[in-house]
Amino acid sequence: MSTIETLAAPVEPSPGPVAAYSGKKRGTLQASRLVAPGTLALILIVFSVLSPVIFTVGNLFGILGQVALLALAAIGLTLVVRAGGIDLSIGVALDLGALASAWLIHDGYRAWVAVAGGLLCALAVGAVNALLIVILRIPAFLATLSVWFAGTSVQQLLTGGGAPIYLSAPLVPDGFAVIGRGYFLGIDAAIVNAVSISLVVALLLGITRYGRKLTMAGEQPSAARISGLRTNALIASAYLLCAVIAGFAGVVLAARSNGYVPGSGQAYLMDAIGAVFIGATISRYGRVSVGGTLIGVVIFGLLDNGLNLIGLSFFWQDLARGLVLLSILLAAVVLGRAKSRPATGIFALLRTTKHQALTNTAKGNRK
Amino acid sequence: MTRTRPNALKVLASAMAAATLLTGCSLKEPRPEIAPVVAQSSNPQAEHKLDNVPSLKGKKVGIAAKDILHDYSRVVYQQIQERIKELGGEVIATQAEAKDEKHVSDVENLITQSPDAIVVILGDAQTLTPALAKVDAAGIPLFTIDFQSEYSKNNVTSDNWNVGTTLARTMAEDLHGKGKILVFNGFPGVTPCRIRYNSLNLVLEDYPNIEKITPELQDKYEGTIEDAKNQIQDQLRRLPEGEVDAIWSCWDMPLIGAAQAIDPTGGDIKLYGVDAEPGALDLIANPDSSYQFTVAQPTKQIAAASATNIALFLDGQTDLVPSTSYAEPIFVDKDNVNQVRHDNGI
Amino acid sequence: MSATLVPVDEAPAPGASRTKPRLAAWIGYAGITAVLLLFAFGSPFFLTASNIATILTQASVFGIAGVGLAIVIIAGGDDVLNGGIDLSTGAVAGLAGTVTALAAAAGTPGMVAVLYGVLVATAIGVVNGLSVTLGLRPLLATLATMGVAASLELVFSQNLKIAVTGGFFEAARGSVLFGIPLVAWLMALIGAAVWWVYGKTSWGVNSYAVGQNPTAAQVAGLDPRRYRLASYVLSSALAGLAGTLLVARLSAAVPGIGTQILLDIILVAYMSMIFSRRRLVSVVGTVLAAVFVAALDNGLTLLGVASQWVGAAKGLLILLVLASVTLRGRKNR
Repeated sequence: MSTIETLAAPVEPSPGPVAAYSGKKRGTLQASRLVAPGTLALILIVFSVLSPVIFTVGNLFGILGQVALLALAAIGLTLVVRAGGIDLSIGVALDLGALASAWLIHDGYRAWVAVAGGLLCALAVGAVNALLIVILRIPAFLATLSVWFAGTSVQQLLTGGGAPIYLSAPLVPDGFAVIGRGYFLGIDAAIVNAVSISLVVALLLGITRYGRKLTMAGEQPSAARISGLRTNALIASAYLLCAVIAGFAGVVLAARSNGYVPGSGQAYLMDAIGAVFIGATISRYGRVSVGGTLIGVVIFGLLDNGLNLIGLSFFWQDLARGLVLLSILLAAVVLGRAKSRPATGIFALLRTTKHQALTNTAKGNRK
Repeated sequence: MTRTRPNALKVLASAMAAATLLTGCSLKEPRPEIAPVVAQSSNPQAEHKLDNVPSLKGKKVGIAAKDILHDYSRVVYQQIQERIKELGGEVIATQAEAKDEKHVSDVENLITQSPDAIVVILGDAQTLTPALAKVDAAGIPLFTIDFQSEYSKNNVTSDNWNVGTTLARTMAEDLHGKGKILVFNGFPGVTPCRIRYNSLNLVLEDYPNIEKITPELQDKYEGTIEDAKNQIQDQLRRLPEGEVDAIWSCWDMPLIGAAQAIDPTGGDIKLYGVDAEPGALDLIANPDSSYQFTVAQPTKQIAAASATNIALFLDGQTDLVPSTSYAEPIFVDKDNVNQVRHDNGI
Repeated sequence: MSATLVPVDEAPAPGASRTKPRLAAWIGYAGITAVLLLFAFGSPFFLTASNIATILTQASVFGIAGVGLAIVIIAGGDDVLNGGIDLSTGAVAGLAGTVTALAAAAGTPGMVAVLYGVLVATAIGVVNGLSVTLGLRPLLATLATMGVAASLELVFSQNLKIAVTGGFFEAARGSVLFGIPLVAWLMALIGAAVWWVYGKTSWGVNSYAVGQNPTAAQVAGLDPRRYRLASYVLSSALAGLAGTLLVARLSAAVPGIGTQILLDIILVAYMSMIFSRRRLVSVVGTVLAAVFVAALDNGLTLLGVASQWVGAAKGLLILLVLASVTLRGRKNR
């Protein structure tokens, strides 16, 4: 089905629907694309003035270690959002990954069995999502929301009403502990894991044919279908991959915290969504990417760390986070249209809405 | 891509098969046989009462728990159900996932079924009062676990004043009345938590040289351990080395994360919590861990006492039901942790 | 550009499906009736007047906030990533409740205290609306204001519960009119008013238009920004009102209540799709969905379903209803 001829077409004009006009004013959009990295630098500078500790190597690696799990969850989400969907159930996949691996370790299985078991359980969550969204055609938001509800139940049922699993340290095989707590060339294993998964996904999205097809299926579903892509299989694969990556984050979490506590995964959801879309501002097309997502993740990590290091009460921390997020996004939008001519200005204003109009038409046709 | 996937699967399968062979056909890690901790319940108080407890046959008891997120509330929630069933009663159990609004709704939904009694586990007296007034108006006897209500026929609780002050005094005495402590802010909406937090402040009035480091740290219900670990790591970098002498929390969960942040660094910081989470007990039992002290609440006894009181009350023996039944807390430190675990099967 | 994307052979599909809309329109109701019948046969208490009053009371906070969210989705489109969504609604409700409780504790009369709460909520709504009209993705703009509102709530309340007392809040909690609780009347009234505005007036028709196809609406001379700005302001105001009702219900403002209720508000607004033959979010559908979700929790308790199963049962039932609607919709094409 997916032969070379049909592929040739979508590969060339891969830029999304905004490309037509955004291309004209590449120069002005460049400024908005610098907002997220700029903010990152600004936060770093401001905090390093306020606190002498923040710029130390130990602290910087500490931050990376703290955000490694969020990074993994957000990378998974990036795939799904690139495919035009959303996954609110990453926390469930993460928790089930942690649950299965902690359980297997607790029962004395080998490290690789535990890891494989964790990933398989997470894969099951992805399969359910794919089934609901691709085959039953339930809107992704609602489908994954329901999976979230059901997943909470499943965790309680599997753990006798929600009992945590604690692994006493001497019984954990080294091969498992090293995934979350080991050091590789002096670097926290969680960082190494997050970085390697990021690299793989970045390459997958950036240079492989699969990545281009996935982008196409997400941004222009009807066009993708017409040009012969199996959009259903592509979108399903995004949910599966996302769940597996979230499940891997769960395995890392279990190894890192020496056990499993029900309902830990959902804590990462909101930050992951935020990071993914902050990342979208660095793209000329407002497209999510692994690099952008990582910038978003590090912004959140730096903010949390910095606000703790300057000793700000937690009462104010969310306010600071919210304001930073809002200003990044506003700056990106305002810079994106400030220097452009009035005519394109309106289009820039409608950047999201126009894109949405296209997907809406596409959806309407599908029925 | 679609064409390559079967190949990938094959590779994966053969890799797994190969790995199985390499590891000697066993999926299990070779591990020295360890004698399992004998999970025997030697709570004479909990056992002997059952004989003279009237039956709950034909009675329906509604249960509304605030949450089952930590060991204490979960065990009480499960134990009371079992105990009521043992006594021949029927149970309708709800839990509110730590949501205040749902807790109120749960109580309302229970009233509808006009059960013979309603038990509310944990929760907030203020937000529940309107719903509890309805329980009272409907003529359903109300029983509570771990919070005081004017409508409650009987409240079974740990003596949280005792727990709170003992926790705080133990910490203050261990510090020899001098030092700086980090405090997790806790959940002011949860009664036992609030009492313990206020007890800390009360005790510290007598120890002017013990200083709470500001700001206090945020407690979270979700992802508690990882979050607390990150917060403590940050605080340790913010504060000069050796500045923190102890960390206090009204429950064990955040301190498990704190211990994970502190223990690898070998810092001399002492941790004090409540609830005797198995994870916390593991740490206390480890002589190298910074975790010093927790308080075990006799969850089985609490549940059993509540069920007994319900049975007595419904049997008409109301004079045998006190307004409050206190359960003796068990204080756990590094010296007695193994003994306590053995005695109580936790 | 968009024209080239519409494949010719599929273009008439939406029009064609209009020829037999009747069955599809009722399938959502049928699914829900089946569930409710199950409860009614399963428990003798389900259909008692007092239980129905209980369900309506439980639904009203989510119904009112949900109607606000429904307006946002109507004017912004139901594409979650780029369309209208208000994640701040829960936190705004919490903030408004805290402000109201603080004002009431300081001696402000109840009605005025509620007004303060709603005003603060509306202010957040203005920020949301302006951000979105400036071109921010609603998902992100409201994610940011969610943090802001939640944090302000902590700052104002010092993370402490604030009790409210007094006749006004007791009346808001306990009053019953013709056997139906006051708050349920309020939900019905708001639902009816918003339904009239968004179903019967040109403002409403235009709002649907800018939500469904902003490009076309723009060409037709409508300015989407007006309708969107208004939708966020209204949404926050309604969330604020819901927040003060929640304070009355709980007789206290509880810190962090916003995150506890957010998910159910979103669920209720999106569930309204099952009451629409074209699978659009609707106001009346939102009120019905709020009642249905409350009835679901209530019914599962009445049937004595163990609490570990409630989440799974809830998720499955919602999926079942959704799937029946979507499958039905596909057969119709």
